[in-house]
Formats: sequence, structure tokens, C-alpha cells
Amino acid sequence: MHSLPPPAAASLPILLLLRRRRRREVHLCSGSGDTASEERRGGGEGVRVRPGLGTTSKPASPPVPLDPGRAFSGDLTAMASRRLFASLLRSTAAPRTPSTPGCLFNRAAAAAYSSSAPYNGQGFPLPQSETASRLGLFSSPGDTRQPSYGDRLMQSQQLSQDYRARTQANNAPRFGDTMSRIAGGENSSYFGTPSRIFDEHKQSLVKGKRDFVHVLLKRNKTFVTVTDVRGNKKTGASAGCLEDRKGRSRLSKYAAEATAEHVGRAARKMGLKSVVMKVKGTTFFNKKKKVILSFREGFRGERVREQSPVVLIHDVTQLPHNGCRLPKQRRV
Amino acid sequence: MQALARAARGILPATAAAPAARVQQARGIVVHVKDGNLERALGVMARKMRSSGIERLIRARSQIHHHVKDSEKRVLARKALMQRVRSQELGKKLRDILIKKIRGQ
Repeated sequence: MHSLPPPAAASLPILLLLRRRRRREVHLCSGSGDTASEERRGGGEGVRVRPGLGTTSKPASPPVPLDPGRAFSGDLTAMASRRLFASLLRSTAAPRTPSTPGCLFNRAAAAAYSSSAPYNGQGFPLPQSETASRLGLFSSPGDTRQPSYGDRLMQSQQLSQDYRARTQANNAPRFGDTMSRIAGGENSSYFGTPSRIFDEHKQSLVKGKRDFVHVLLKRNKTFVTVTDVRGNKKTGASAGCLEDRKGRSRLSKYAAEATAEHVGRAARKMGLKSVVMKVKGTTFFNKKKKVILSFREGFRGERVREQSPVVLIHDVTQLPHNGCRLPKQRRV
Repeated sequence: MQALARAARGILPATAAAPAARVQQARGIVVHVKDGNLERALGVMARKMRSSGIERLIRARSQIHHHVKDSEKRVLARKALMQRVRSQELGKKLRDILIKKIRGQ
């Protein structure tokens, strides 16, 4: 008890002394820890005492007052030291209170500085400057606000119009291309002209006013057609359309002759004067000869002395000189 | 021909061609009938066709209706040759027999 000094007014040297004594008191706190361990041992003794009291009341009474007495003495010392520490801490805390409003003041000042930045106009274009005028089309020199939505819309529309104008300008050469295409189309008309010149061969025959008799002899068919110089059909017949041989076999030897005679008779009725015979068929000449003679017989009819109308005989059979490979013959 | 070529290119318009160019050569065999004599014309045409070889082509085409390989052609040619030789020999034998009969009588 004498070692602990009494409490006094707060002052710097006193505070320093308190700090030094705090270090010494730390050692005392370690001693208080020992007292705590003793208290725990006392708790254990209490448990033993309870069954003792239950069994015998007189022998248990003398040890009880000794132990609590010791515990009370230790607790009082610890509590006294603790109270002194708390009061000292409170006294030390008191001088800090004036510093906290200083910090708050600093923060408020910092906030003021930060808030003042937009007022200075650092982040925005200054009034009466080129950037401000560029942003807004209709902004006055004294107007500090940013360009409105309407102004931006107007700008975008102008830009789109410029783009359209450029694209239209780019389309100009394409129009020229179409013109050249039309010119090319006009040029193509010249290519058809030469083919007309080669038709003179047919025109030269028109002077004689001759008609053509086309005879087509196939294996099982015969076609005899009378046409004019330009190929327009006047009359004709085939082996299958003859009334005489409707129900009979068309493969007969005389089918071709009969057809030619029929056509000759028809030509006679039409009043043909001169005829050019064009014979076509992959057959021996004997058959062709018979067909030509039959046509003459049909044309002449009963009159034997009259001359034949045939003026020219032209064999137009087309036979390839070992042309394409023939299809494979079927094996039967 | 230059005028035709230019016309084909589309440089100059087509002009009237020479009379010789108008007549185009005809394909095939052509026979004119003179004085209305059809029999003579047909005879001339038959001769022309035979000499031109188209009769032989038609005959060959009528007999064979499928593609013939070159090797097959060689075999057929050899067969034809042997047949021809055999027929000639047979002809000679017959001629000798007849001569003997006539002399014997």
C-alpha cells in the first residue's frame, strides 16, 4: 500500500512517471494472475466443503473463514489497482478531445477544396472558348451548359445526309457502266447480219419458182412432204396415214412407193410445175429410185407422153465417217 | 470476205457481197435432169453413188449395228480374205471340169 502513490493532478512529468510505474505495475498484474490461480484452487476446496457440511457441521466451520478472508484481501488489491488505471486512462483521454475537432475541420476543408473544383470550371470547357462553341450549334458565347439532345440530333442528321451524298456520288460510275452495257447490247445486233447473206443460195432458187419434195426413208417409215422454197409445208403424207394400207402391214415393200404416188397425185392437183427431189435415207439406191419413179407415175397419171416435173435430184443423206461409238448391241 | 469480217465485228455495216460468194456449194450428190429424161438422170446418179463409195458404207452399216473393235475388224478381214481365196479356187476347179467335158465331147 505504501508503494502506490496517491492520485494527483494531471501534468506531463506526472504522466511520464505514471508510464514508468505502469511498467512496474505490469509485474504486479502478473502477481494478480497468480492470485487468480489461487482462486481457482479455492473453488475446488469449496466443492469438498459442501459434502463435509452435509455430513458434519462442527468440524467444517473453522476452515471456511480463513479461505474467504484470503480471497477478499487479494480481490480488493486488484480492484483498487484497476480503478486507479481507469481513472488515469480517463484523465489521459481528456486532452485528446480538442484534437478531434481539428481533424474534422481538416476533412471539412478538404471537402470544400474538392467541391470547389467544379466551380472553378476545370472539368468543363471555359465560357467563350472554341470547344464550347463547337459542341453546341446554337449555343451562345455566354452559355456554359453542354449541347442539348436536339443539337446532337441535328448534327447526326447532317452527318447522315453527307454520307448519303457521298454514296450517291459513288454510284455515278455505275450509271456509266450501264450505259456501256447498253452500247454492248447494241453492238450484238450486228452479229446477226452476216447470217442473212448466206441465205442467198435459197433466194436464187426463187427465180425458177421451184418446189421441194422431201423424201425421208427410214427402216419402217416413209415421209414425203412438199414444201416451198422457204420450207413452208404445202402437202405431205406418210406410210401410216394412207387409207389403202390402214389395216395392213406397214413393213411392206410397196409402202414407200404407195406414199410417193399419193403425194405425186396431190401435187398434180395443186398444179406444181417444177420440183426438186431431196432424198434422205440410209438405204440402197434401188429403193430411192423406185420412190422417185412412183412420184412421177402419180404426178403423170394416165398421160404417158407428158414430161416429169422433176428438175433436180439431190441426195442429202448424212452418214458419219466412223463417227461416234455406236451403242452396245443387246444380247438376245 | 474482209467486209463480212468487219460486219461480224460490228465496225461497218454489211455490204452487198460479190455474186460469186452468193452461190454456196451444195453437200451430197446432185444430178440435173436434162430434157425431162428421168431414167438417164437416175442412171447417172446410181453410177455416182456407187463410185463415191456411199453404197459400201450403207451396206456395212446395215449389216453391223454395234461398235466393232479394231481387233475384231482384223479377224473379220482375214475371214473375208480366206473366203475370197476359197471361192476363186472353186471357180478354177469348175472351169477346168467344164473344159474337160467340152474337149471330151
